[in-house]
Amino acid sequence: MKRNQSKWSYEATVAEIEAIITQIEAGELNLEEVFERFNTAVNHLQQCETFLQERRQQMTLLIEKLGEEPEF
Amino acid sequence: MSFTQPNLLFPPTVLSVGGLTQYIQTLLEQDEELMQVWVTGEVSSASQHRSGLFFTLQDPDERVALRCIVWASQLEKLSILPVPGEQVILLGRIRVYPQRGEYQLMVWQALPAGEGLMALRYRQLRDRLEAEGLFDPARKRLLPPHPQTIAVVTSPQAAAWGDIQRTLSHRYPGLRVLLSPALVQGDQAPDSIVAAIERVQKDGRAEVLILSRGGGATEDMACFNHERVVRAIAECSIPVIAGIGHQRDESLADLVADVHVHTPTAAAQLAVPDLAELYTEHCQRLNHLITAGQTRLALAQNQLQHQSRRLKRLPLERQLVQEGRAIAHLKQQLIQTVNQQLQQRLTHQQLLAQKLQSLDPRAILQRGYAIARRQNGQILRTIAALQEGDDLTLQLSDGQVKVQVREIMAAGTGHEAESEQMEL
Repeated sequence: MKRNQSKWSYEATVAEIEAIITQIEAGELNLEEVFERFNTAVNHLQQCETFLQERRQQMTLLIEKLGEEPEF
Repeated sequence: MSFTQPNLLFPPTVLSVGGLTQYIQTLLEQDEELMQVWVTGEVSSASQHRSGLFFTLQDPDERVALRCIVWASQLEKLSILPVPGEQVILLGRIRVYPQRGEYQLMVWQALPAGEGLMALRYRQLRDRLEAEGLFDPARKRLLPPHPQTIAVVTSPQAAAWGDIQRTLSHRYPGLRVLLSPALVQGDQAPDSIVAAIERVQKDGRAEVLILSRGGGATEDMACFNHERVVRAIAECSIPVIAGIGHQRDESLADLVADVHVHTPTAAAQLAVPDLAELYTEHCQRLNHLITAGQTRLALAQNQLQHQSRRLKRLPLERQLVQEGRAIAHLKQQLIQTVNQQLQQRLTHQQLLAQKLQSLDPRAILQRGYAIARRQNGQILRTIAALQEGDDLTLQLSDGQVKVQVREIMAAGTGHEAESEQMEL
């Protein structure tokens, strides 16, 4: 699942997933909507999975030093 | 000067006590240096009287003492009260007390010396900045929950930097960390820190800034109480986490920062979430979704099963059989009734046929009756209107006979007529 260019936010996606779970649990959706939203949530979770896995695979930090080297 | 200085070229003049004392008094009290003098020392004893506070100031290095007095009226104007054991800086003038042959320092200002002085300066700056609202809790910003780039202002040589790096790489490998180096102690530290913060802002990528150094002596931490540093933090465009190792009070940098903690490690922990924890939450979320979906599905399936069972329990078989039987019964009844009717009709018809047969004129004719007709074909039923000589036709079973009337006789009058009529 590709993230679209406009800043994909982990937080926002997680919030959407939580919202869908709550809706399904509330039991007020009809069955077709349940399937539809379940699919959406699974897609979102896949995006999160990709994001987190990418991070975990990094072994180290990307460190950058700002500015000119001052004499210490 | 009310008297002349003694002339040392001449043999010494013997002075009176008063004269000498007066000389000393003038000497001391009129000396420019001593009319307003700053002196530092340690307060060794103090006693409070109605008229004022009397205390002794000791030289910490030499066994020398100076008696001091603060008049009651002046006491409240002092920044601090001289307390035995404390190092102080006093402002006053030397007075001579002729009656006791003493000189004393009349004090009108007292300041804490050494650490105390720094503490006073700290206090004053803190009060001023607090009044401006810089430490207001309402000003504090929330930290971004999931930054992708963070900045660290510290000395690259400091142990703090190592701690931060270790903590960050454990928690969130792949994080982009911008190190903006700064001096964290010494006279150049405040400017260095301010420049480092500005560098981070100019770069613009960082979402949160950690300002950190490990613990150290109080004097070494002075830069974090510097006004320029405090203002730079207050005006920083991104949230600032102060992770400055301390033993005692918080520095002003701590107070103005959006969050402050006691170690560089703690600062790094606050700055980024733990990826492993996030992943666990993520997996839990996935399970949660699946469970919710499954539960909902099971609910629908249960409903379906329930309805199916109800459906099955309906006595349809029995009903169908009953209905079948009922229909068969009706069918039988129908057939029976129709047969009956048919039978009745048949019987009736046979009856009618018989009747008809018996009414068949030909049978009657065969029995010997004849049909008499007039000339115009009209059937004769009565002898009236008949005349002798009329031509008649007699129809018999096997043909016709033309005859003529010879005689007419009414019924009952002659058996012969009837039998005549009948026998032909």
